[in-house]
Amino acid sequence: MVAPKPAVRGRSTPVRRIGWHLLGLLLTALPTGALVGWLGSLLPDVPAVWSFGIWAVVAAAYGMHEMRLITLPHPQRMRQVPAGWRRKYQPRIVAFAYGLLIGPGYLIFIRTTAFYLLNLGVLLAGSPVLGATGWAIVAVCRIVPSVLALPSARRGDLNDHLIRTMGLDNPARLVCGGALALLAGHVLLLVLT
Amino acid sequence: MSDAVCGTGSGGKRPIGSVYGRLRRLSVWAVLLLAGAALGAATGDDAVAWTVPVLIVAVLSGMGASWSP
Repeated sequence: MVAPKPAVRGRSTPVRRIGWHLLGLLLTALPTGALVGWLGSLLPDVPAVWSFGIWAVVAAAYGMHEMRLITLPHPQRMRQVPAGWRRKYQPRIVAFAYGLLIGPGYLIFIRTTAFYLLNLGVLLAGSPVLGATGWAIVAVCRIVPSVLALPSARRGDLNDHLIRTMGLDNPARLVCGGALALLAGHVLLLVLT
Repeated sequence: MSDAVCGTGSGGKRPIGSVYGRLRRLSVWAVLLLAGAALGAATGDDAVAWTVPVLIVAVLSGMGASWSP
């Protein structure tokens, strides 16, 4: 994997860059989640049985989608973060700016459709606090692989680590699909009883 | 860029269907759906709330997004 070499070298360390990235993520994720929750509060009240029932059915269906059993709509912006920024700006600024861009979740590829369920759940709940909390969790979870890559980065074998983690892509999708099915069954039963 | 990196070679990402059979995936999906229902029955919750499902899908969204280079 060949990442563009930064033209401007900063004094930041990988840990600091992860910190800057997380800060950028949270700065846009928190208001986005709160906004989605607030928009949900404007929607007319839906009986709990219907809202949870709809959510559970959608979760079950997207669980099948994640497991490649069916194909459902997967709307997303077909963009990745601009690679050119790495050549123009200091690493910590790039990490921060990438965080700002990725935080809302809508401006680049949506890798997992669990994100749709997050949106639907927060909308139906109509809670800005729950929305902000949900988006904050997404932001924190996004940096976990970067944290796990730190030892490899220190040893200088980051490329090997990245190639190894690419192999986790399919298992991650299957786990996501399975978790959605589990959640769907759980919520459906609670709604129907 | 090697095949392993761009996902076309044996060392890269292979389609899920070629790794795990359709029937196997469908069985896992169905078992987990039923397991979720059984879990709901076992916990005996009398009211469903948004907090747990929303926070779990938040974790899935974050972790699922991260592993993909």
